[in-house]
Amino acid sequence: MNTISYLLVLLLALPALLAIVLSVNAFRSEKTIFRMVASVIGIHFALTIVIAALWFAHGSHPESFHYGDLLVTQAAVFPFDLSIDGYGLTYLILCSFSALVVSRFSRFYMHREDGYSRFFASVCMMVVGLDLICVSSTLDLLFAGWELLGLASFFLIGFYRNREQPLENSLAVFSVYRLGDLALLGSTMIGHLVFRAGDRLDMTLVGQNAHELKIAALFLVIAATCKSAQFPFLNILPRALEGPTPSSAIFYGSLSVHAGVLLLIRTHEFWQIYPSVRILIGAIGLLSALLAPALGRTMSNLKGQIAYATLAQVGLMFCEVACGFNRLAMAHLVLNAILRIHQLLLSPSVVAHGLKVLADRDRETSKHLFDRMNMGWENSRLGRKIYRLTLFDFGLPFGVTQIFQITSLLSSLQIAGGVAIFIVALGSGYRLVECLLVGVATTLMLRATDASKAAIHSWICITGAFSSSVFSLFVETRDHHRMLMKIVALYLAVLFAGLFTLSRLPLVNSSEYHGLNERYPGAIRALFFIFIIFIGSPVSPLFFGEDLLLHAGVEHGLLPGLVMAGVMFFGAITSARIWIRLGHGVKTQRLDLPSAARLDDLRSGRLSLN
Amino acid sequence: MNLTELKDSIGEISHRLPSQGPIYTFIHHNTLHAFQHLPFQKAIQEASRFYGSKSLLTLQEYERLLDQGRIKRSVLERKLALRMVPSPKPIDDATSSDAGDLPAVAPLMVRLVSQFLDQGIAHWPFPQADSASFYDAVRGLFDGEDDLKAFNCPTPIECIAFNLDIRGLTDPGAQTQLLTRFLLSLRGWAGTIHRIENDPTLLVKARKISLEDWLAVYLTLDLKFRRRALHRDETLSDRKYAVVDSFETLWAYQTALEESFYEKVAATLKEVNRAPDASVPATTATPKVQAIFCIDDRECSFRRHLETEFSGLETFAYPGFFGVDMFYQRDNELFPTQRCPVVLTPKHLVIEKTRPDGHSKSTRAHYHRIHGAKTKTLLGGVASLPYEGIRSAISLISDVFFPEQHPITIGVDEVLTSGELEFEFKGKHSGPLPIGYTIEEMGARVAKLLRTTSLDRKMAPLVLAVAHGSSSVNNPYFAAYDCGACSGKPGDPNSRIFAKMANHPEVRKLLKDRHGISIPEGTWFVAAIHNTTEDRIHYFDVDEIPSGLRVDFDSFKAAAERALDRNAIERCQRFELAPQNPTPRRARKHVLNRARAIFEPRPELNHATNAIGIIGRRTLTRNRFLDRRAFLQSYDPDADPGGEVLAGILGPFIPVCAGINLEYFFSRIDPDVYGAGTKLPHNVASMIGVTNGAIGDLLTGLPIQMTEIHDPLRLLILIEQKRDIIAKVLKSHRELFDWVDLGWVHMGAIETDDNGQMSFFRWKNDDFQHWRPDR
Repeated sequence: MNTISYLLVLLLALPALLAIVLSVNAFRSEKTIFRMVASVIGIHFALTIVIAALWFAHGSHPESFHYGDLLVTQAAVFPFDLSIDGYGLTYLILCSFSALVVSRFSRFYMHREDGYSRFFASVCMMVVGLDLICVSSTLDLLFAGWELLGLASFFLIGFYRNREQPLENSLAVFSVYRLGDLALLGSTMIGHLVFRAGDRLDMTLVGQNAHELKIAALFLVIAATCKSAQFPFLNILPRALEGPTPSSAIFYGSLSVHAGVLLLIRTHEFWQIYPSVRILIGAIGLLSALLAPALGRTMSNLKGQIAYATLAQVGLMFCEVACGFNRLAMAHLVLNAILRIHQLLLSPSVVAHGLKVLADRDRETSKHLFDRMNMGWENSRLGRKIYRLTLFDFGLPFGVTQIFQITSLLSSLQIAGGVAIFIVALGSGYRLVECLLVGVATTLMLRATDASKAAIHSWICITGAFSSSVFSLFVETRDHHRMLMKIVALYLAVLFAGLFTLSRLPLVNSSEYHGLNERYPGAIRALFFIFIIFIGSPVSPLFFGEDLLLHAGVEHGLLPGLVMAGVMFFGAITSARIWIRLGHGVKTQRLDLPSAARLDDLRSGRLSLN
Repeated sequence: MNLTELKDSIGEISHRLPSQGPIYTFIHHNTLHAFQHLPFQKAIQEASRFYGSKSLLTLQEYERLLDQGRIKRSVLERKLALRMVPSPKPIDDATSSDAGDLPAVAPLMVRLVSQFLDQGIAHWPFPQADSASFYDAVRGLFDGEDDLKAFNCPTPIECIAFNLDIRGLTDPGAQTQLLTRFLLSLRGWAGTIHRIENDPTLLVKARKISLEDWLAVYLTLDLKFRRRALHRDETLSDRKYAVVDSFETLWAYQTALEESFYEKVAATLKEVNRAPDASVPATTATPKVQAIFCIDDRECSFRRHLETEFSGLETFAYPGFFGVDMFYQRDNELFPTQRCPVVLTPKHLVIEKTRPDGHSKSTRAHYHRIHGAKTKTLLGGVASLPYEGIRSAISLISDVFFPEQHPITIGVDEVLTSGELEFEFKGKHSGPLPIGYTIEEMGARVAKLLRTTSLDRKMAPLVLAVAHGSSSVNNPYFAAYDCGACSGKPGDPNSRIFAKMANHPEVRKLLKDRHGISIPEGTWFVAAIHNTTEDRIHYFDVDEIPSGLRVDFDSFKAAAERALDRNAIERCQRFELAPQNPTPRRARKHVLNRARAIFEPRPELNHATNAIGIIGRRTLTRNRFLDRRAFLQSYDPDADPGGEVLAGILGPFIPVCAGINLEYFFSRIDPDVYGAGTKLPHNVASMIGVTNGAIGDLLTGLPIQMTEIHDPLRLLILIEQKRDIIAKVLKSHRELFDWVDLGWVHMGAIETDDNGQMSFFRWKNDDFQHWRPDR
């Protein structure tokens, strides 16, 4: 333990504290809020610099610090370990620099905007998340940071809560991030299986557990792909640009979109020994690097264009990492992140600038201005065909028409999916009860995705899916340790709290927006907390529960584990959907216009006629 | 319907679309232009039903204004007592829209049209966009898709008819309803297409597009993608609206809000009369300096401070194009821009030979690269990252922490090139337009301005023509901040040309011979421009000022600096984040930073709070605190017994000022339907507008940041003139009369009797009636 170790804790604690304070929203004055943000982000920046300086002074070797254990169970130990290395530190500096610039920018930019404090709370949450990703030495802590980053993203995309388009896009992005979260969780869990103690890597074990670790490595790749919006999720990034410009800049121009690369670099010891994983990463990167610029070139809105430009470079970074050029990738990352922040922040000025360039007689001579890639073949048959493909985002999942097919496909598979799982389970030699339970769980979880049913109906489906999937784990063995029982009880309590809350609200479906926030602020707030707890976010007591439960599932067998993961995935998406669509989306002020009767009350109370 | 009827039907609906051109030519106009043939009260209700918008503020908002004292309780009681409850006339279903239901294909349509119309953002051009119409280009794109039979029709209108047939719609009512629904579903884009169809020159890169093209493609693709998209597309759908009830009550609040303010204005003006100000120059003495400003409400406070700081000064106001109606082009520009009110069509072109601007080549190139294509390609990005990444880090620090260092501001600063102007007609033409004016044409323009403002009576040795403009960075609405009388451009070329004309010996000779206006030999006209954002003033052609006038000019300049200090301090009071009780230095620094900060969504507040227009002598308003809320126009009632001058004034005055006023009015009433919502998430699309997010409808109107402190008040135009003369003018000009008669503006008359006693009249029920605001 040395100075650095204390500073690291301070580094994490300050923004975390502020994020909590701001979420409570006790402050009305912008000045107070910003003073707190400025001091915390300022100190954070200074701390980063001091830590970097100390680290260099100490000879710049990777160091790790053990502070104690957060939780010890039979199955796993969750230590609180931080570490410091060159890559993490570089990203940390990038993060605190960007946060500093963007906070200062937003001080004035966000002036008088509803949700001033909410905005900064999300920024602080992002800072904590990234700090954790940068300095954690166990995958558990890294996973906590990963989830926080995703949540902050989700909140900022849906920052404007009375318009449907941002909310809808935030849900779409959340589903992709959630997939990444689960993948990372899976890989964490395999780490536990193999190492039993967090996952301070013991390379001697690697050889013995090559198969499991390879799967863990694949999961890492999925997590990185989701967060960095690489192939096949390329076109999720333009959809994410719904928040205020500075939040788009810091998340999708720089910090969030590059986090996948950081994950790969920080865990490279895990996967660089597997050529197949490296080839996979390289292939994802290469495909993204080739497709993203093509998509970007037909974009006629500036932010979307910058998003694809970012993705192309991130794709290249994936390739660099796959080839083992970690330092190169890190340098590439930093430069790209800063340029894209700058481009996004300045994007509103393109009108004036472009007009000047367009009007400029000399523009033909200055080649670097708005020059079109005049291929000459864009009017040919092939050119038109390629152009048409870009209109539909090459058929990627979040194109202009595809997304609706996915959701409708899923909900139309309810029975078929359940039966299929049942048969597969039966074939794998599970007991009939277990097979039935996983089959039911599958059917119910797919049914929950059907938004046209009443919200409470979907919630009952989740509860049912969760229960049957949990029970399938308990069929065989009787020696469940108490921790697991507690977790299950807590999960059920949360689910029933959800049922109770929904039963107090009008019976509505979650395929439309209802804006009930105005009339039932308490219930919607409750739904929000239930959502936060249920998805096992790091502030929730179920954070470890998620891990342990999945762990128990996988120990029981692959299939129950998968179904359990599926229930967690669809459960999270469904609870997010219900919270968002029931609570928000309609400018409620308008719905609540006073009736003539209330008007008369008002008048007689306040104004005396005659 | 046959094809002609179909065309007519589309034309009919198209009037109801928002009519806003590309954002770089932002010109204020009445948002509800399509309903202007109706009485105001009825129009806002009909529009509310048609667009699903609010017709007025909500009761809560009015109650807040009541608590703040902006609505006087006594006035409100009067209005509520007068309130009638007529049964609202139901409107027929064909005209009401079904705004909530958005076709699934809408996002694809947005991509198609934004990429087709793109003015230079996308790097790959839309195939055939330069040559073919939108319909043909899209047809070419979907060439070979067998299920798009409708695209076999040779013309878009036939394609629309085919689509209606295929849907089994034969009833004209149902057909109209479908067309309405589709046109309104993305009305921002549809409205822009309609504007471009009517005036293709709005675009820099020519595009052939019409509403028929749009509808044909929309209907055809809708049929194809409706089947594939099983769920309703919610990414773009509109909000649901509750029906606004109790309109009559809200209307009472609204009129009470207006009257409460108008009464205050009248009281303020009357006070002038009761206590004549000592600083008003005696009518016989000749002032040392005279200055002509734009009628813009932002100049109202500056004039007041200037008059206080410089005692020998007389100020006038005339629309900021100074009578110089022209197309103007700098020789490094590809196309000319209009520099006069939109209601006029210029018949002359003026060309300026520019000198190089102040921006360094490397700065400019940096911005080209920031916005340009090179950094966004795969390999180009890699190649440019080492340099651009580091450069961006430095720029970010400097832009965010030292905003005043920002190298490029957009707007006034750029035009301060003071190149040589080709404003004299030398027999050259550009297309149909003559380049420059003949002496006669110059004389007529100068004479009109001098007559209208009554400057011809006596002239000071130094006369300034002060145009105005604005500068800002990172602001797609920059064009909305410039001079409304110059079609949303800074007015400096106009003021320069006007000064040059008035200084022209031959013009002066002609003025004397033909117009009977003699400009004293020693009088010199100087052009200047006031940057309303930064509160700076720039004088043109200073070296040409005769040496004898230098002393006066220098003392004016010093006074102007002090006046700008005071103006900046006054403006700071309206900015929440500005220093309170600032020193002049701090106030000036604050407003300067506003113009230069990339993070400032409110470089200035522009026309927010505008509410009155006063046409009359300066004695009426001099030294009165009108809180930057008034459009002021100089007018001498005594010199205009026939009302011809007044008609000439009102011609542009009403459309320009009421256009500004009503755009603010409606954007404030419903920021999400009439306005553009909050500016913070805006994304520039195709360079012709802004959208929310990457795929969305074009947003029209003004963003909240421009309108939030605005109180929605209709413009009250007060004219210092006998009421029968005004009535005569109004009744003989139908297009002006309607504005007043239908209640889109309020009109008042001020008559002063021989004892200097003022009486006020208001236009009501077809005539002027006594108005006693102080009762």
